[in-house]
Amino acid sequence: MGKKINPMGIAVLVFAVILITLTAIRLTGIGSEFPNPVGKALDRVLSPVERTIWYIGDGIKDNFRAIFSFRTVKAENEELRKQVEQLKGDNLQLKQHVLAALRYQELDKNVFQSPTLEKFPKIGATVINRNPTVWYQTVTVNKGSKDGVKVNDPVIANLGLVGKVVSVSPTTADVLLILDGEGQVGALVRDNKGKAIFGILKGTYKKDSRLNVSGSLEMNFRQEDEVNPGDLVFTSGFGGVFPKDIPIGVVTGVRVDSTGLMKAATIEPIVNFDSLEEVYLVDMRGVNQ
Amino acid sequence: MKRLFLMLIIFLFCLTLPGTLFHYWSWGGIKPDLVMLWVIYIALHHRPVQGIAYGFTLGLIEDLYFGRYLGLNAISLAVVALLIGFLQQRWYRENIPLTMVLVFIVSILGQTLIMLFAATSGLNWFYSDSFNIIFGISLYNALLIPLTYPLIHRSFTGGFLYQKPKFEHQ
Repeated sequence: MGKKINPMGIAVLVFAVILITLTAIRLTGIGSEFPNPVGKALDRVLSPVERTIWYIGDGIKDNFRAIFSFRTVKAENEELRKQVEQLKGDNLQLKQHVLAALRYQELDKNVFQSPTLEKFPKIGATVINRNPTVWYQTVTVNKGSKDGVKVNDPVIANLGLVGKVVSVSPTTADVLLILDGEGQVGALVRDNKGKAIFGILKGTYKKDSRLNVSGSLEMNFRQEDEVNPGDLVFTSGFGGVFPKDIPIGVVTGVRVDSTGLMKAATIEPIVNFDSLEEVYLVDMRGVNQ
Repeated sequence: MKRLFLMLIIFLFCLTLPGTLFHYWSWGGIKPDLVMLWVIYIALHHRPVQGIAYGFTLGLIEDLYFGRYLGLNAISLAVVALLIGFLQQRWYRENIPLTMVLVFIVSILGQTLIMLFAATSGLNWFYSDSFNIIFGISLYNALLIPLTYPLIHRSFTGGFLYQKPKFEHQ
């Protein structure tokens, strides 16, 4: 004898499942903390596999490219040498700007020196995985809660701000890049006279194109604010997540928005996110004390 | 038991590969959704209710692995399995081109669902690239069929992944 099906019961069940799921999705967004032993266990099990695949992949990519396109690689090498010379000059100029604007003592060592940043310990970490889907701009690094990493810890590279930690397992941490529209950064623009204009910086990854790996950043200003291409953008320290004065990028363009009331500046990040391999996680304990 | 273990191992590879191996093989930033493809394969070779249960469970594990938006993939993959359960009885699953079409259509619906659930749950969302992403992922999933489906299908119908029926037919 077949079982009787109660359509009303099924409808109620389906509705309840959808409602619970939507609530769960909303409550567990980026930055929220909830007990996740399964996710942490998976991270612990899969991170060595991910690391191995990365190493193998990088090796294959580099070696095969060199073997099969020797001429191209040679030409590319020459071109890159020229670019390195050019960039050395540009880099020096940029260093001078940064030093003048923010009294940095050195920018040529592994990590730039910032008076604010020096107060906090930093943990070096290696990128072992990149965003597994196209929906978010995240990377996974090989340091976790065992090393003292916590959610919301700022992440920097040798040149500037990378993002913040959004989830942590004992051995790994997920970092939301500043390119992702989900995250916002309190920032300030310094013009060539050193005057600061404050604002909120957002990634354009969600807004413009999720398919553009490099992405870019955007900031809004009042009409009367004087923001020009070439101005440097730094963290403002407001909001309590990021320390003050970490370089973020350079203003590459300014346009009036569709309402005609505000100006929007496009900012090119200083950090090259596509070739990001090593980062520093900043331990912000005691920042608000 | 051995069968479930093998299914779990394949699922773990599906979780890991898009962020690692397919970073090198991404196509204009688009990577395949291997977990969705694996759920489609499972649903094609199981009864609808079993397929939905697998879809929901694997989706939930995927959400836990990502550590955010818990339930987003769980419910989307359950619906994908439901669709497959409905279509598989009307579809000739031995035929690879037809399976590619099936995977393409279902992936489009699955990715659209993920997008809609994300949008209705308050995720910061912009629609300008949605078509390219949904179409690209679905096409990538469909293009992986000739490489993966024959082996998986053979395994489900007589190999390591074969599920012995609980009762013999009279």
